[in-house]
Amino acid sequence: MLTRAWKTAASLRLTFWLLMLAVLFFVIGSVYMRMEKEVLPLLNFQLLPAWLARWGLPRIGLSWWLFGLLFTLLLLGINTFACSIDRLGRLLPQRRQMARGEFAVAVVPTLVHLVFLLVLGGHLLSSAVGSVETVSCAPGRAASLGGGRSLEVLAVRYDTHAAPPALAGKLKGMSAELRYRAPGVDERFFAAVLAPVRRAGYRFHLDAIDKYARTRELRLIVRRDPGIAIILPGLATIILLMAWYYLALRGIHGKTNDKE
Amino acid sequence: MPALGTLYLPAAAAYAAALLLLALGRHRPARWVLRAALALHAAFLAARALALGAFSLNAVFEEQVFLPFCLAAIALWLWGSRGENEAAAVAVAAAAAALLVLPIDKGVIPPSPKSASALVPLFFFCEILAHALFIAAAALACRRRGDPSLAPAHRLAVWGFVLFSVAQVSGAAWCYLGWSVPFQWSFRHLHSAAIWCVYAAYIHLRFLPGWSERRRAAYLGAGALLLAAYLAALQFVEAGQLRIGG
Repeated sequence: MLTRAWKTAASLRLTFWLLMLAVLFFVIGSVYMRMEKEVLPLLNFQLLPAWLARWGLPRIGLSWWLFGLLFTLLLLGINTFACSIDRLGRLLPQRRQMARGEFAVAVVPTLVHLVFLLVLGGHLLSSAVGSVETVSCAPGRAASLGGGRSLEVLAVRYDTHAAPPALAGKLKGMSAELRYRAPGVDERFFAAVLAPVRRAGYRFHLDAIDKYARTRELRLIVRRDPGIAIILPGLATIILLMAWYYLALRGIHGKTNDKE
Repeated sequence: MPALGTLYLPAAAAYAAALLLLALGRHRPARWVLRAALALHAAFLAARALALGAFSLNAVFEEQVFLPFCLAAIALWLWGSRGENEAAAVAVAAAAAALLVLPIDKGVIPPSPKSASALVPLFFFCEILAHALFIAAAALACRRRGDPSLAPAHRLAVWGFVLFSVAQVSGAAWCYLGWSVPFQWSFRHLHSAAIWCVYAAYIHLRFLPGWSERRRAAYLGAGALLLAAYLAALQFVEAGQLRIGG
């Protein structure tokens, strides 16, 4: 019974159908994101569990695909873990019979899948123990954040292009001088668009509300995001492993062809 | 300098001529005309890069102008390294794409504070080249003449998947710096995730019994159709944006 359950969980056929289900939910979700402009975009400024409780459950007609997607990703995570352990269990005993370097290549796909799980874990960590607060950014504005913390916007600076003529006067950069106070902390610093600042365990992102800077409206996003330290290096590791794997495979095939 | 839309016309005319020659089965002259189209297209991209008075890679790596260029380059590379039939299938896709984007405004989106990062050209270059590889893989897989092996199409799809993954990672880093999260709940991000899952599933198909080359070829075709639908939808989503020099 247990063996059968494990075989099902580690099945590659299951991987395929779960990925197809994820495609379906992603496509449906993209259509919903395009159609609904009030509640769904709040997902980007609230933690996922908080959003699900506040908006997702009461407005299930709008969020059903998200529940489906999250459940599919959970199953995909379990499937990936089982698949990886299963493959590792078959590879390790063959290690001594393999030619030099062959094992190192053969084990890479399993490593990619395990790092992928770490990345999913990073997202889960950020959702579970992270925090996010947004504050409108205008000179002189002060906002109190949770836990006796406060943030004051001391000044806002807009840099514009001086030349060439086609761009003269258009926004080039935006930055804000901030004062952050928390128990035992009183700091002044600058945050700019694309250059967030880390202070006292929080990251301060200056966000231009219009992506193309057609307006000068700004907001500050204050995040505690412990998962990011896993997510970005994890994704970079996956790329390096994948590129190395396919290049190594090409090398192996090249050698085989030479011998032939 | 003439408007960018006008500068694109010679390249588009050369693509149309290449398409006509391919339809008539005259592959040899079609190859030369496609070379000329690629050269004219390169000149057009160079003009775009300098259109705002300062060199900008972001102006080059825009889907509507860079995708047909990538497809034409892949077709010519296939002509040099593989058979004529394979190259012709991708050349048809390149010429069709180049003509389909003809009505779209060719102006350059002016730079903004959020686009001032080296991650931006890296993201768009990898993403658009990956799209071209996916479409080329589908064109190779679904061509009718002879009994085509899936191996060349598979190779293009795999490298497309690697490049698309690089795009997603550089995009995640850009999104984190600019929007504070590595993944946004938006039309664009969700659709990219869907495309990534489609090709992640494709990579696994080789290990599944029952998935013959014919069925995998059909799968690559379906993947490219989903991608094409997404690219068409994106044109509507991003329509009405400020552009300069079109």
